[in-house]
Amino acid sequence: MKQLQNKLRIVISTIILITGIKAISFAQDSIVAPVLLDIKYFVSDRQAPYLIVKTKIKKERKFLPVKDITVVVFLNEKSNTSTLGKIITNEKGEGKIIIPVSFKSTWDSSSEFTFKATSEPVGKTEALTAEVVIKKAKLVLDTLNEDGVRSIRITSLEKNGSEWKPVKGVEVKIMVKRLLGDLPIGDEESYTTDSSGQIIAQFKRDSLPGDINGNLVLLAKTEDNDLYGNLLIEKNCKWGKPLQDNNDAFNSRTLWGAHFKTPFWLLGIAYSIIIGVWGIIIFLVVQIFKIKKLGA
Amino acid sequence: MENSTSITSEIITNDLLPQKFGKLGMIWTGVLIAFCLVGAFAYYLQLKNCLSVTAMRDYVSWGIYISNFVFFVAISLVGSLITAVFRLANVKWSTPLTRIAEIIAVSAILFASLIIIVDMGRPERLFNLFLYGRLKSPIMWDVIVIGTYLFLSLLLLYFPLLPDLKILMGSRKGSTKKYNKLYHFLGSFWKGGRLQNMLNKRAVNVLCVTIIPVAFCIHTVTSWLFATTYRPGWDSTNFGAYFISGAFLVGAGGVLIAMYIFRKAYNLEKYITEKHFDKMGRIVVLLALLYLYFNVNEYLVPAFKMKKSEDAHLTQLFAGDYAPIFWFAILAGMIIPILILIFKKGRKPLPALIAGILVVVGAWFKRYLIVTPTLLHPFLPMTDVPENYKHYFPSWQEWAIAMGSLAGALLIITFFARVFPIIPIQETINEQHETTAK
Amino acid sequence: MKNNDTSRREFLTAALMAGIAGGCSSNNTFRPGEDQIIPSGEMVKLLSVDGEIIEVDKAFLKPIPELPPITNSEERIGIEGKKFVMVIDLSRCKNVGACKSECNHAHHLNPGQNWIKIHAMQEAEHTAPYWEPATCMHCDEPPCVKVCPVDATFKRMDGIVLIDSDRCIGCRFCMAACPYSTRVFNWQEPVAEKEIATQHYSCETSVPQKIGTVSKCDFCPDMARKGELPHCVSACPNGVFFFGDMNEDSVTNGAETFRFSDLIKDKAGYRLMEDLGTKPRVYYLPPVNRNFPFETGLKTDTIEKNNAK
Repeated sequence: MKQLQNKLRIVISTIILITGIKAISFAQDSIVAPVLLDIKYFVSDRQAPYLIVKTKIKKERKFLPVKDITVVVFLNEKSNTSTLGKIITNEKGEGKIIIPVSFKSTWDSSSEFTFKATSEPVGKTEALTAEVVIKKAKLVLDTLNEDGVRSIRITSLEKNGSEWKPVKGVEVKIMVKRLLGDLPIGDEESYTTDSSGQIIAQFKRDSLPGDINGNLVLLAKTEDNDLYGNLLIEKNCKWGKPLQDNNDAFNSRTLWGAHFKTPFWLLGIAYSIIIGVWGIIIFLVVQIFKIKKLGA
Repeated sequence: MENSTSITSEIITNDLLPQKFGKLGMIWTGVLIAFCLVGAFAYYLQLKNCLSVTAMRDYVSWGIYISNFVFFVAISLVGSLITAVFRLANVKWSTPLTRIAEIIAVSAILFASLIIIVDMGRPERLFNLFLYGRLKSPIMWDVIVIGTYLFLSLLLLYFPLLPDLKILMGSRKGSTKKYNKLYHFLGSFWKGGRLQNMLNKRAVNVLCVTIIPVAFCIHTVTSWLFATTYRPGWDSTNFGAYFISGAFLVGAGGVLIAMYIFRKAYNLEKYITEKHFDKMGRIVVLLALLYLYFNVNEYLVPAFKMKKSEDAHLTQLFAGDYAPIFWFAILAGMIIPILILIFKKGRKPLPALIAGILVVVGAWFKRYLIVTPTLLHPFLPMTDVPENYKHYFPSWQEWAIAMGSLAGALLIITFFARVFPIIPIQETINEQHETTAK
Repeated sequence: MKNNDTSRREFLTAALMAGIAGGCSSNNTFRPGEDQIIPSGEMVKLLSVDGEIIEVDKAFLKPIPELPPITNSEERIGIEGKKFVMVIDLSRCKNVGACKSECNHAHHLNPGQNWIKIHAMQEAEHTAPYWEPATCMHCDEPPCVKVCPVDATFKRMDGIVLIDSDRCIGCRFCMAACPYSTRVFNWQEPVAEKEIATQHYSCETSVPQKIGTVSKCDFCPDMARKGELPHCVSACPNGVFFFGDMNEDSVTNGAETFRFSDLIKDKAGYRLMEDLGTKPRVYYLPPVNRNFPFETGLKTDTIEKNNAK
C-alpha cells in the first residue's frame, strides 16, 4: 500500500513538473522577442573601410534577420554633419555603408572613432541604437619561400599619430580562399602576432588545386577584434597546383549522357534493328498495294 | 467428287460466317461495356486528381497498372506462337486457331499501350517521348518494339483476312450494309487470282519470320524494365527467358479459353474439335513445365544464397504476407494445369477450359507478384514517410481501371468476332480440298 | 527563399566584389584566377584606411548585381569548373532533423515528402546502431538518368543530377532504378502559396513542385551560384554535412573547412553501396568516436515529427 502511495506521489509530482515546465516554455514563446541592432566595422582587402549594420531577432534559439528597417550611421556624434549614411536593411537584415570621401579631413584627424547606428521606429519595433569603437589598423601579408619551405608573414599595424606601428597579441586567421568556406593554411585555426607584430605561419597545403595557372588567393583576417574590428587582406600567389578540370565523363557518349550523347554501339544496334524491321514492314505494305493493283 | 467439295465449301462458309449476338452474347457485351465505363469513370477521376487516387506511393511506385501491362504484353505473344511458329513449322491443325490467337494479340498489345499511358503521371506529355526520346532508356526500346509489334500483328491479321473478305461480301447472311462498307474498304480489290494468292502467301511467310524475333523483343524488353534495376527480385539475368516462357504459357492458356468459348457460342464443334483441345493441352503442359523450370531457377538460386537484400523479399513471398498469392500463382498457374492436362481425359474441352482459366488467372497474379513485393524491399529502410507508404493494396480506381482494360480487350475480341469470321474460311476450305484430294 | 535569377557572369561579379562586400553574406565567393569580371568603366572614389582616396570600378562595388535568369540549357550544363561533393559525418548525427525541415521549407515540399531521410541503421544484430542522413547521391554513373526516356533527369558537368519537372512524364522508372530510394513523386497537386506556385520552374531550385512529376534533393546549385551553402548544411546544428568542390579539394560545413582528400583519408570515408557501381558524390565518415550516443536521437518527439512530416 505504501509502495503504491509512493509511486502515486512520484507520478503526480512528475506531472506537475512537466506541466510546469511546459507552462514556462509556453510563456517564453508568447513574449515577442525584441529586435536587435548590431554594427560592425570592416576594412576590405583594398583597404577601404566600411560598416555593416544588422537587424535580427532571436527565435527558438536562432537569430532570424529582420528586413526593411531604416538605420542611420553617424561618425563620433549624432548630428547632421556627421551622418555617414542611411540604409534600409535587406532580406538578410543587413545594410552596408562605405565611409564617404567627404569625411577625409575628419578621418585624417584621429586614429580612433566611434560609429553610432540608430534605427527608426517601425510599427512595434522601437528605435534602437548601437555603437562600435575602433582604432585604425591594417594587416600586411607577405609570402616567404625559404629553402623550399613556404610560409606567410602577417604584420598587424596600428595607426598611432601619423605612423603605422606593429601591435602584438592580435588574433589573425590565415586561409586559402575557397568557394564556400575558406581553408586554413595549416592545422591551427588562428595565429597571434608576437611582440614585433608579426606572425610567420607555414603553408601546409602543398599541391592544393588553384586555378588553371596554379594561382591561389591567400587571405588573412581578424574577426570582430575588440580594438580593430574586422580587417582583411588578400594576396594572389602561385603556390597551387594548376587545375585540371576533367569533363570527359560529361562530354563522352555514355548510357547516362544526354539526348545527343548516345554510345555508338547502341546507336548502331538500335538503328540497324529498327531499319531492318521497318524495312520489312514497308515491303509488306508495298505488297498490299501490289495486290490492290492486281485487283483493280 | 467435284460436287461433294463444293457442298462442303458452302457448308463451311455458312458455318463460319460471323453471326449476330444471341441473348447471351448481348449480356456478355453489356457486362463488358459496363466494366469499361466504370474503368473510364475511374480514369476520369484519376485525370482530375492525378495518381493520388491510386494506392501507389513513393516506395511502391508501380502497382497493378504495371503488372497489368506486363500481363497484356505477355498474352499478346500468343499471336506469334500459334500463327507464326506453327505456320513455319507447317503444323496444319492450328489453322482454325490462328485468327483467334492473332486478335488476342492485337487487342492485348493495344491495351498494353493504353494501360502504360494510364500509369503516367503526365499523360499529356506523351509527345515528349518523340521530342526528347533517349535511345538509352529501356522505356524507349519498349515504345519502339511495342509499336512495331502492333503494326506487324495487324498485318498478320489482315493478310489472311483478304480472301475471307471476298467471301463475306459475296454472302448475304449476317452482313449488313454497314459491315459491307467496311469489307469493301478493306478488301474490294481481292479477286483471288493466282498472282494475288502468291503475293499474299509470300507476304504472310515474310511476316511470320519477322514477327517471331519482334515478339521475343517485346517481352524481353518488358522484362528489362525490371531487370535493368538493382532491386532484389528484379536484378536477374534470367528475366528475359523467364518472362518469355511465362508469356507463351499465358497466351496458350488464353487460347484454350477462347477456343472453348467460340466453339460453344458459334457451334464450331466441326472445326475446333477435341483433337485441337488435345493438341493445345499438350502444348500448355510443355509450356507450363518450361515456365516452372524458369521459376525454379528464379527463386531457388537466390533462396539458396539468401543474400541480405534478397532475404526479406523471398521470405515475404515464401512465408510472409504474399505467400498465399505466391503459392496460388505457382499451383494454379503451373502445377494444377499440368496435372489436369497431362492426362488424356484432362484434355477434353471442359477440363482444358478449367486448366486454361487457372493458367490465365495464376499468370495475372504472378505479374502482380513480380512488380509489387520487390518495391516494398528497398536497400535502405523505409524512413520518414507516412505509415500508408509502407504498404500497398490497390484502390478501387486502380481495380476499376485494370478490370476495365481487361474488359476492353475482351470487347475488341468480341466485336471482331461479330464482324469477321473468327476461323479463316478460305484456308479451311483449301485444307478441306487438300484432304479430300488425297 | 530561393533566387533563381543568377547567371554565370553575375556569379563571378558577385564573387569578385565579395572582397569589398565583406561581411555581407559569405565573403568567400571567389573562383581562383577567374578575373573575368567585366568592369563597368565607371569609377567610384573610396577613402582608404590610410586616408588616401582610391578609385574602384563600380562593377566591383554593386552589392546585389541584377541577375538575368539562366536558361534551361545552361541549367542542364551546370557551373563550369566545379565538381560538387558532399561529406556526411555519421559520428556527429543524432537525428535532430534540422536538415530535413530546413530543406523541406526551402523547397516547399509537401507533407509526406522528404528529400533528406535520416535512417536508423543497424547492419546486423550485434553491430552498432547509428543515424544515417541520406540525400541524393548525385552518382557519377546515375542509374536514374540511364533509364529516363525523355532527358527529364540529367547529369551535369558539375556533377549534379537534376530534374526538369517541365519535361518529366511521370513514368517513375527513375524511382525504381534508384537504389537509394531518394526520389519522391508528386502524387497530387502540390500545396504551395500562389506566389510560389506561379513561379517559372527552375531545375536549379526545383521550385515550384509540379503535379505528376518526380523530385529529389538537388544539392542546391542556386545557392552555390550565390556562394552559399545548401540549406541542409547550414541548418545542421552539429555540423554533420560538409559541402564543397572537388576541384578546390575542400569541403565546409560553414564553421569548419577541411581539405577534402585529407578528410576522407584521415577518417576513412566511404560511399554507400559501392558494389553497385553508381559512383556517388556523397561520402560518409564512419560513426566512430561519436559525439552523441545513438539513443539520444530516439527522442519520441523527433520520431513523431519525422513520421508526421
